[in-house]
Amino acid sequence: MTKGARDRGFTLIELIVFIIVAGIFIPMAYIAFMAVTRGLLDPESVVNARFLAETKMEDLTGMTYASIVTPQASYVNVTSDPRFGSPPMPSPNPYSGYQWRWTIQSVAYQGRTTHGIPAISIPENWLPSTIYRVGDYVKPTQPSVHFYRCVSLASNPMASSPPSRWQANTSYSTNFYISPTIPNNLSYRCAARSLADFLQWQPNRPYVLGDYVVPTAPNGHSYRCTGAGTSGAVEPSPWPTAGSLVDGTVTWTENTDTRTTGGTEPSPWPTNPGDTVNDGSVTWATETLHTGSMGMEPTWPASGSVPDGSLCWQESTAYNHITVYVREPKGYEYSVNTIVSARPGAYP
Amino acid sequence: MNRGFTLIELILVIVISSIVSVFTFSFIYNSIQTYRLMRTQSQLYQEGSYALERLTRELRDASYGLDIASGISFLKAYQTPADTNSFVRYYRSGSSLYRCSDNFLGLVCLFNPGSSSTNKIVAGNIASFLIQHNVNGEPCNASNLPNCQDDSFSITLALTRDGQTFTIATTITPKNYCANGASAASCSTQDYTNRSFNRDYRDVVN
Repeated sequence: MTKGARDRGFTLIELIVFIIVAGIFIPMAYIAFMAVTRGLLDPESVVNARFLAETKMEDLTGMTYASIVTPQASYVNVTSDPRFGSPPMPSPNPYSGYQWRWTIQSVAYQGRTTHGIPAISIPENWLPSTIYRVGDYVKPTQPSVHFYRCVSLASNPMASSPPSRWQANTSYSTNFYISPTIPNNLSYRCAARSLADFLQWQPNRPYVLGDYVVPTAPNGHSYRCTGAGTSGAVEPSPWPTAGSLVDGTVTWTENTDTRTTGGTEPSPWPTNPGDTVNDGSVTWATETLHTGSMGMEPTWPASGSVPDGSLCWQESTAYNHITVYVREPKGYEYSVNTIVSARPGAYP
Repeated sequence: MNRGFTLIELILVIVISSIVSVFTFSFIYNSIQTYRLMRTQSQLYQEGSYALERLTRELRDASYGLDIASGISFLKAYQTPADTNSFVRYYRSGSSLYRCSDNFLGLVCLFNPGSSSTNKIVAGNIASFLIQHNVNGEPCNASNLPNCQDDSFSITLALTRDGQTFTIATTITPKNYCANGASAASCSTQDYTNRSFNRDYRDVVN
């Protein structure tokens, strides 16, 4: 009678296979487990990386704004810095294996609402004949360390010369831009008023300073009242093509090529782009703010502002975005960043 | 049925269980050891980073009177409601790092800190507390901007406990530094144009 399967036990082969398999897997699990626990023994890399990043950030921001010009593109060993070499660090150097690099980027803030977070960006290149909003930034098409911020012409600090706000009885050149005396965030381009828009001369009529007439028989000229009075009963003939003449008690001065505003500011100013308003011998065309239409880039100033079409660009070299990266020996990367400005409280 | 174990069987059991228990106990021993090391280390890290954070925050606000003769002492540009003293001194005594604040003369903290109620331990387990003054060319003042760079101070803190050592180091450039020294009246009116921080650094931690 053979023994039952229950009593047979393990064969030698089964035992050997078990021992071999166990001999492979148990040490593997043990080694893996111990490697993980050993890895847990170095949690100082986060603390070290943080203070390393702080060190480099302090180095960079300790310089003056104009001196922050030396980014470090590729990683270098921290221990090559004399402050982290051995000595003064103990041996083995706790900082061996740490590396750092840093980037420095010129950025502009774009907008800042009262409670919002300012967004940073690198401005786009200046473009001709382009509408910009107040507050937009551009950078010159040629490499430059400057940015320029769009301000309305009315806020041009050089507003008094040439005048950029509307002024009474003032001559303007064609395509000169003004803004109303009460700025409305629109600008108005000066154009010669069409001769057909002027009133024809009338006899025995009182005229005041700044009135305009054209002869009843158009001769391609307009005339400005430069001495108030009453016109004569008979139209002057011929009208002179230059200089002035006396008509009754009125003095008329030839005015065709001069664009002179009247004595009273247009009110209300038109608000739709393309709408016009007559003002003396000027017709003001409503314009949105845009860069010069001739494709000519302004000569960018190192400071202050420069007019450009109906815009004014304000120099704005304001921000450096500094990022410091620290890589610890196991390869993990940490970064800190900050934004520094040369201007006190200069959030645009 | 009543045969019992043979001697061979007993010896085999003893040999096998001792082999197994060597593994088991070394495993448990290693785990406990790792836990103990980590507990010590994390205490050192926390203590070190807290102390360094505390010191660097105040040091960034230092305006003048920076002295590293015994620990580091300086006068802050801004005070806080909780600590209206402008003079601050950090120093090591024994294995502890102390912070002492005082009026602008700093006499008590410098010469008899133990008598001051503001003299408090910031961190223990200190093995070394080293300050290095990095002279970065010309300190900034109104006349030499922007071609200047203020001095910086490197701080190295080493903590030790149960055979574990933790070294931590950083460098601080005081943001409100006034190179004109103790003639501090001029500090508030210095020209900070072109400075990365325009004297606008202020800390609210006491």
